Amino acid sequence: MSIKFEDVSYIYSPDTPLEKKGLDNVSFELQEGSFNAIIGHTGSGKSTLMQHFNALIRPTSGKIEIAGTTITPETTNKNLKELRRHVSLVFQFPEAQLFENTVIDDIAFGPKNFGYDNEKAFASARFWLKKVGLPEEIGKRSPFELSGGQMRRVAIAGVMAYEPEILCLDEPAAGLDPEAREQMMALFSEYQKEGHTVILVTHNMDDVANYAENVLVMEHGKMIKQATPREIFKDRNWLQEHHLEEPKPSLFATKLQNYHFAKLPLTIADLVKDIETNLKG
Amino acid sequence: MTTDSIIKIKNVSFTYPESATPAIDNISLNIKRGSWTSIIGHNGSGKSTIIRLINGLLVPDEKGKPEIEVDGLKLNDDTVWEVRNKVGIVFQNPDNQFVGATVADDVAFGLENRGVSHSEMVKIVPEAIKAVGMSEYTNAEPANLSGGQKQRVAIAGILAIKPKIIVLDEATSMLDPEGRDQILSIVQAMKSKYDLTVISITHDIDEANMADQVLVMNDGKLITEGSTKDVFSQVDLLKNLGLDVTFYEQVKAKLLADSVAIPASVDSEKELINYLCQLNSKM
Amino acid sequence: MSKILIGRYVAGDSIIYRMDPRGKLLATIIFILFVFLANNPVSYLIVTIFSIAAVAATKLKPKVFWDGVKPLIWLILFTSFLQLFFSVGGTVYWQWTIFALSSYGITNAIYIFIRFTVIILISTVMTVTTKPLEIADAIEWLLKPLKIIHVPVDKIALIMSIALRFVPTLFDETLKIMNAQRSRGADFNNGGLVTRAKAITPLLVPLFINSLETAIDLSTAMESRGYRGDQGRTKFRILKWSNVDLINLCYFILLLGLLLIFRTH
Repeated sequence: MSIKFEDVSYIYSPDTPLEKKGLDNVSFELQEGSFNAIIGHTGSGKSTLMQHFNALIRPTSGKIEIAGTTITPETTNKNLKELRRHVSLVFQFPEAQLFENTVIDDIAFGPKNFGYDNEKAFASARFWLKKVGLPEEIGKRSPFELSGGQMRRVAIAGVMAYEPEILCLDEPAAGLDPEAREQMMALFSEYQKEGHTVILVTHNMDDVANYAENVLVMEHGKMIKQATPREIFKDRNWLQEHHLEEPKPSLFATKLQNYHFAKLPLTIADLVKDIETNLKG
Repeated sequence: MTTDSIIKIKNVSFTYPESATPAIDNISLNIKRGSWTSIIGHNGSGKSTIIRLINGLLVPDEKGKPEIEVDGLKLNDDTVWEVRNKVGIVFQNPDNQFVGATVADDVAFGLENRGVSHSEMVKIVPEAIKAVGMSEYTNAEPANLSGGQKQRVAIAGILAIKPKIIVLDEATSMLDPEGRDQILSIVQAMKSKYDLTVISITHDIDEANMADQVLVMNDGKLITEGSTKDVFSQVDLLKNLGLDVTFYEQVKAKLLADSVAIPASVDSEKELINYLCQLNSKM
Repeated sequence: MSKILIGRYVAGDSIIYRMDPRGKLLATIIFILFVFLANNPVSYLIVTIFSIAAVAATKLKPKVFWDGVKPLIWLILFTSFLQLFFSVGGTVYWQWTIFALSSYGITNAIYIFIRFTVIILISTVMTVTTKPLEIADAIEWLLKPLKIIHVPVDKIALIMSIALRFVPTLFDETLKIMNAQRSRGADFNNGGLVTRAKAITPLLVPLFINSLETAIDLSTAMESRGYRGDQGRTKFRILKWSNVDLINLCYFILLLGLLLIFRTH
């Protein structure tokens, strides 16, 4: 089932001097099992949009259909557990959410909340600890003894351990070293290929180019474009107009002035291939 | 050469009280006056510890007769406050270093600590705020500022005390690309305007590439140092340490692997682009 | 995103906003003391007119002040009610066991009601027109004499200002952690007292740890920016008396004069 936003608006602190439009008439549809990226500046409404996916905030007006649930302004706090089991959010710097005595307990927290029995919850926790690239022994340690990068992996495992159908991630790789970053992105990509929907909020255009098949561009609470990465990155003037960066391979390619590129390369593999084609004449 | 070193570190080790192994393991290094130096290394390699030793927030282990000299001043209990007048640090988390209740108050904090008179402060503070382009936010509260704006205020607070050295301790790592670019261009402008020495501790390969020289740290040791070109061309070493490789080096490595001949002397993005263009026109 | 109003400050622009916070704090304290001088209908009328004039001078919507009174309305009514039925004296209109409705009771109830309401109104005038930081500055000034007996007034002031500065940060952090745990299926709204107390652990532990980290970072930053306690510190933020404050002072001297003239001696 697809995710559908119909004329969704959200207003912060309505009827006060601080009133501010967070989302302004946003409509779109995301395909089930797709890898989506949401890009835009800080304050463009990306995070506000993301919190609508599992009803942490409800629209001021409009309608959302997601994972068999319809969210409207009238939706109440009750019975949202089922929705959140299917749609989960990894916030920026998610290591701030760790609280249990041991790593394994922390990862099992989500599964237990969503009705896994003890045995199944810990089995899943152990499985995902390994999936995020951490050794089993770490499971017994306190999360607060770990390095920042390890804590991040534990936090991500804690959300993936109940295997939500729709996984939303806000800058999950920010601040990680390059190796960890690549591992995490590969993990999300694999998760998507297994049939889940992934929604990635990011500033990193190389991640967008490498992984996403569909991109939403946000600006001042409005969705100003929805297209494939190739479409988005094709129009250099449009990108500059909206202060958006380009993937590094595209930038590099434009500097090779006497080269001919049929399509602007978005990934380093494409770039190298195109350079070689040019050199062979 | 050593005469124009603004920072001299000799035989410095440091062990955290609760730890058995040293965080800094017998390091000696010099930093040239007026240079831009990047320190790279993965988390826990000792990058940030070394900065805290330079301005006396941490005191080195006694063994091996450690010596730290900043701008001709030997660091000890008597000189530590004077040394802190010379070194300004912008820390990683924009929120956790904003002391004042408003932008102006925060910029004034360092001046207040140094007992600068009120009449002086009212002159210095607006100037420093203007230098980082935050004048219209003079009375704004931190809750209403973005991370990038808060870091600009942190820089203004440092400029106000007219230091010799400005340290960016992963100062851009929590910012979006636009915020990061703004901070870096402000630092670049301030460096030439006030003749500052810049030390930037960073994970960001593009930020590290802005430097004249790069220090690579791992497990508390200085692994290698040299010009950006020299260090970034050691692709295998960087990869082994789990560090990022510049984009042009990645492209170069891939082309070499596919047996496109690129001479070793090609060691910057500009040279690689020039070389590839030449190669194509010869075909 | 969430920019909460710390304290009850409401942005606005009027003569009251331009007053020195020290003047406003002093005036509020003096007013509260003066109110107890009132003891007859005329003096209560004077007090009422004064506070309504102060409220009007803020140029804010009446709702702002109603919001100030609202949380305490039951306390006010209950106290007035006690006065109404338990005061003895004057003409007794109605009596049943220990309850009595007398002329004394009626006037006392009205007086108590006015006294309470005007005190809340004037305090609200102060808190809605003065930023928390300015109130902190005013308190610091008021505490200054305590320096003689070695109370660390400057340190207390710095602590107050940093605490105020971190309220919104802490609020944002709380909201973020709460949302993260909600996403993981935590439920903060349902269940009995014990369930709810338990449910709050995933919120409190990270909040505590994050605050500790913030405190460590902040002290490192302060030290490297040259903070070494109070020795030789100067102040950037200086409060200045102006003509408006003189008017304010005259206003209250006038009030005192009128009260002294019209109260029953």
